[in-house]
Amino acid sequence: MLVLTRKPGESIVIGEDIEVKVISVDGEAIRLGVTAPRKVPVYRREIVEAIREENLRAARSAAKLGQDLNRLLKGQET
Amino acid sequence: MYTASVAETSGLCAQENRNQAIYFPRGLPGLETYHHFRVEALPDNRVFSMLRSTEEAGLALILVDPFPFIPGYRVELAGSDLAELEINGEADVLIFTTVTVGKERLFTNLAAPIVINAAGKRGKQLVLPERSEELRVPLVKL
Repeated sequence: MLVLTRKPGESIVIGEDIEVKVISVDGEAIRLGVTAPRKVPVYRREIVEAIREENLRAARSAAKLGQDLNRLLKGQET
Repeated sequence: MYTASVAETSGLCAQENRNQAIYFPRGLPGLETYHHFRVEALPDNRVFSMLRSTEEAGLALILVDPFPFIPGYRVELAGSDLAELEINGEADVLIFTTVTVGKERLFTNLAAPIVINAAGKRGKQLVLPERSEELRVPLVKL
């Protein structure tokens, strides 16, 4: 991993069109500003982990219900 | 930018080619090793369906058409999503969210809709950062 030291107001550039800027530092919280093309998704690591868990939970739900699923979901339409 | 509008593009409007598997080039988060799924209708049920792996029959996720349940829910597809899914027109787009079953309720994950090009048989699970707090939204009481 490349490690760089930056101060508030300074930034790093990744490739030709991505810039990550340190906006401010307040104790342990660091505010970052990311400039990237729309096709480059930027999100917190936690959301990807959470979606992963939620997908596995959804798969377990379906597997656990098996044949009961049709009965359970029937009549749940709005 | 392309905005998939609500009722016309949701649900199981594309009945044809149902038997051919949908290819998810990146798989689904947590299930990255599976790339081919089929959308299965449930008998007498127009709202829920199943996304079943054609590689592992025991693997399935319950899907719902979120739009009738969640007023104002919008899924915007970036140009790169359209390209990745090879989407040529709005009529080909299906949008679902996944469902989990709690003791008394069904929940759905609005942060990660599953977008399918029904004509081109390609699919992808999007991440909507603005919905990151809505991974388990109550859907209906059981």
